[in-house]
Amino acid sequence: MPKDVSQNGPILEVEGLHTILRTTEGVVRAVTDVSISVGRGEIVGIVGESGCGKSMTALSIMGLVPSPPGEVTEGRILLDSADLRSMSQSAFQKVRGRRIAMIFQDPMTYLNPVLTIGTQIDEMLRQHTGQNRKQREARILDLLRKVKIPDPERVAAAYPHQLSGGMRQRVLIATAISCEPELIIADEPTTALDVTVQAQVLELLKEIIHDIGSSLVLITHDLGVVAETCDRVYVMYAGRVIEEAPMQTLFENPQHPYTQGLLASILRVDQPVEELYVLDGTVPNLTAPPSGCAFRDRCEVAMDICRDQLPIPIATGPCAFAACWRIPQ
Amino acid sequence: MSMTYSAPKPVRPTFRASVAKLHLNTSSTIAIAVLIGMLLFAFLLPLALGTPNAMGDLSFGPPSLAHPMGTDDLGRDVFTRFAYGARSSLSVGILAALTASIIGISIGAIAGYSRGIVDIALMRVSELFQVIPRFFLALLVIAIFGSNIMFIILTIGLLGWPEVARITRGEFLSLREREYVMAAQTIGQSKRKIIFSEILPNAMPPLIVAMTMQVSSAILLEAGLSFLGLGDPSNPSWGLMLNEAQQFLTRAWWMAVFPGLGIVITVAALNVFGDHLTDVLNPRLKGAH
Repeated sequence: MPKDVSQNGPILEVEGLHTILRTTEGVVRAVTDVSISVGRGEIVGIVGESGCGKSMTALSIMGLVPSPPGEVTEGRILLDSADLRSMSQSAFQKVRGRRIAMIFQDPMTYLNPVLTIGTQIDEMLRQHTGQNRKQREARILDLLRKVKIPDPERVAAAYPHQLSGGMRQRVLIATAISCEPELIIADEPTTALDVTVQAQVLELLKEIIHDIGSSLVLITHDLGVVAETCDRVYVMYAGRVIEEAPMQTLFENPQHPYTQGLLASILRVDQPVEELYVLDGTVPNLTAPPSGCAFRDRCEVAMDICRDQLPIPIATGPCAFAACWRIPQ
Repeated sequence: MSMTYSAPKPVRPTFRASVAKLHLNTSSTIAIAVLIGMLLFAFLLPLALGTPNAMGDLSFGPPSLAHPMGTDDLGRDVFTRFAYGARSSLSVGILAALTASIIGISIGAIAGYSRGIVDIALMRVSELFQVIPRFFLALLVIAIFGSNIMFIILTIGLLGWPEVARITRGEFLSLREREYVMAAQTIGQSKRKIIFSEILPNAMPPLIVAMTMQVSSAILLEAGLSFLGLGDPSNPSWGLMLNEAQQFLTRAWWMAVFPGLGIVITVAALNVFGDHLTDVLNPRLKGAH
């Protein structure tokens, strides 16, 4: 159920975020003027194709944009009203993991191959809690049980390569929730998993988020994942947020032609494959973003104005907007 | 829901498991036996023997029951001197390699992790050390400052670090880009912790090989220095014994052969041991047996 963001103040507020990457081919505008807010207990999705700036937005929030070449040039990132960008490195270290945690796409590469699972979860606890060894050991087993890993004692002593993909993703989730953070950012958490395991992991993630009362930002290119989990969705294209809507609204009544295209290209059981809509073309090169609307070259309903002027976001309902000239003012 | 393991029973990284793995291979078993024997020999036996410089009546005595390795030109027991020689050669080797590894790993890790200007500066310093021929700089330093054994250890150690630093830096440059390093950052780990507890264990296999090579090259370097008469004369080492033996090579072969064999066997055993240590420390191989 979509929750009213204004009820007790958003946990995360991003305003006018700009992140660039300085490459040899020029400056890539990876994230341009992105504003996002996440309410308490809310699950917010960020959708878009590869290279549209989803992951860079996440890294910018975590303060982990690789530098060089990357840099956050503008914008405010407020966690519970505290500005993360003006925070010192040591203060930020206490926020990472403790208050914002991250779950990654490929659980194999995000686990250190030479450390046991138990050690890796323990690192988080040692970093952020004052618990002694015994308490931490009990907590690790407890966490592994929470993510429904059978035989937690054995898994805690195992190395990452000894676990299956789904198990490894559960371990990452266990690590992320170990300090009960207020916000969890999950970057494509199910992409590397089998479809059956995907559903289990998503279900688990939802359940746990609800249990510990934190909020979730779910970054994905998979609209099926969004439909299953999210309360509200941001659609990103070429580094910008082009549409925001509550999940139900977005699926029933997408406003932006890009969102409409995305939704139309989902494979459905009740529809023959031959009729599948394909969104032609790719995301434009962000070293030299086109003038006007970035989507106009792939847009079936582009107008003259789309070439010259950037579409302004227009409210399309409560908690919803889209940036397209086609939408009546 | 059924979740199954993709691998056999995980093994706890216990000492027992490591030892069991070490014994799997004949050559590594021999190498370890030789090294343990040599260490015991070097550090326990001299306690039972007399002083290495005690002179007897018999000069150039061939190996016999009383003198298993014969006696030298001054009538000193070669076996006693061999045992003391093992002690100085091994301590020089191990301590010099430790010095080189500690300096090399720290500098290499900092350079590789920081990149940029820090990396450039540190690597130019290491190149400065690398372009100077190690042996001749050691000669020069010892000729100027004297040949105290601690000094020899420090000199050899200080000359060996660039190699270790280079290897560490290379490993760090590639490992720092791994996703688990990013994951460690997202849980708020400090740079120091990321360098030493996330990246360094992954960089260990090539470093262990480098470290055992450092031990053997330090033993050889010390032998070389002593052979040229620049060793610590009050502490007989294998190199010093070889130096003394060279003028009597035709008269008393035993003076040269035993210390020579000592060097060859120890260095070979160290290299084999280093190779196997990397296998033992690889978690992927741990679960295999």
